Amino acid sequence: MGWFGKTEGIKEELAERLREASRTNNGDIHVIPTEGKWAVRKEGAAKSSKVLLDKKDAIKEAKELIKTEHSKVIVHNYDGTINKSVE
Amino acid sequence: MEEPNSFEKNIFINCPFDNEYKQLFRPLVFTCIYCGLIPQVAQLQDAGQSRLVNIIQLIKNSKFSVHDISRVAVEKDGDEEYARFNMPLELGIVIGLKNCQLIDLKETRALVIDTHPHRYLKSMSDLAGSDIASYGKDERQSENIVKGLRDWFASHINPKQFSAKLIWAEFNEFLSDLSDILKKFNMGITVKIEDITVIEFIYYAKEWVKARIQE
Repeated sequence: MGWFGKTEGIKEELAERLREASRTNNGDIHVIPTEGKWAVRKEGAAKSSKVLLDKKDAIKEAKELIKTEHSKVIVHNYDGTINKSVE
Repeated sequence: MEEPNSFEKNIFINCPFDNEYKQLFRPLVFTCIYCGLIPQVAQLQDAGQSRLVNIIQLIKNSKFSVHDISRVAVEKDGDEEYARFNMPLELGIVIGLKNCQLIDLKETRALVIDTHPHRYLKSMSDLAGSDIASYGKDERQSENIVKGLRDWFASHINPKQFSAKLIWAEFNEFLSDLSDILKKFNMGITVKIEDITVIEFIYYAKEWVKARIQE
């Protein structure tokens, strides 16, 4: 049994928020380890904006791509989880 | 609830379900879902039946299967040494059912995955000639699992698959959305991705992918 136990309402509420997030582009920029390099990808984009050898350079590049004040740079770990978010 | 008669899309997932494996389980099932398949895991079945009966039913209902045999190496637990045989056992059931023609030999396909490319030749040499993919032991394991599965799907299911790079990027974005929503959703307790069970993860990945590419 998971953390939401038998509360189907919470499960469905989370699923609805996920569906909404999946459809919505809030302008975040992701820095993702890819093939031994670091890909800079705008949320939902078909291709990476840039692929760089150095992680720090990729984060710097990602910061420059941010368009709105609510957007952030999301740096990922090698397993896809979040390493850090940079506002 | 799974849709009925989904044999053509079902993929039986034969892998460890412990916390240590979660970082590989997540990209594994996400890739299956993103490529249009429906993961079948023993933990989804009725609690009333024995685990082995459940597993055999899942195998019979699945056209495809993926088997991670990376845990066959002997492990130490105090003074005891043991190897985990659940994955080879379930792979053996698939091979047995196929060859007894209880499931259609021509229809079903199985992929065996391991950390090492040729280790099975020492531990299970009878598998020679089977579909095998290796994902290594380094930090790129998760990414390699996505590529290994996607390439196998492209070879044996449909050549028109999304690229492995895109699936990997989408997986990263899905985890970002999931962790963000878990953080913001006020449940009175802190819930992280690591706290999500196998069944919950499959459910949320399906919902995210459905909204992303199927709606």
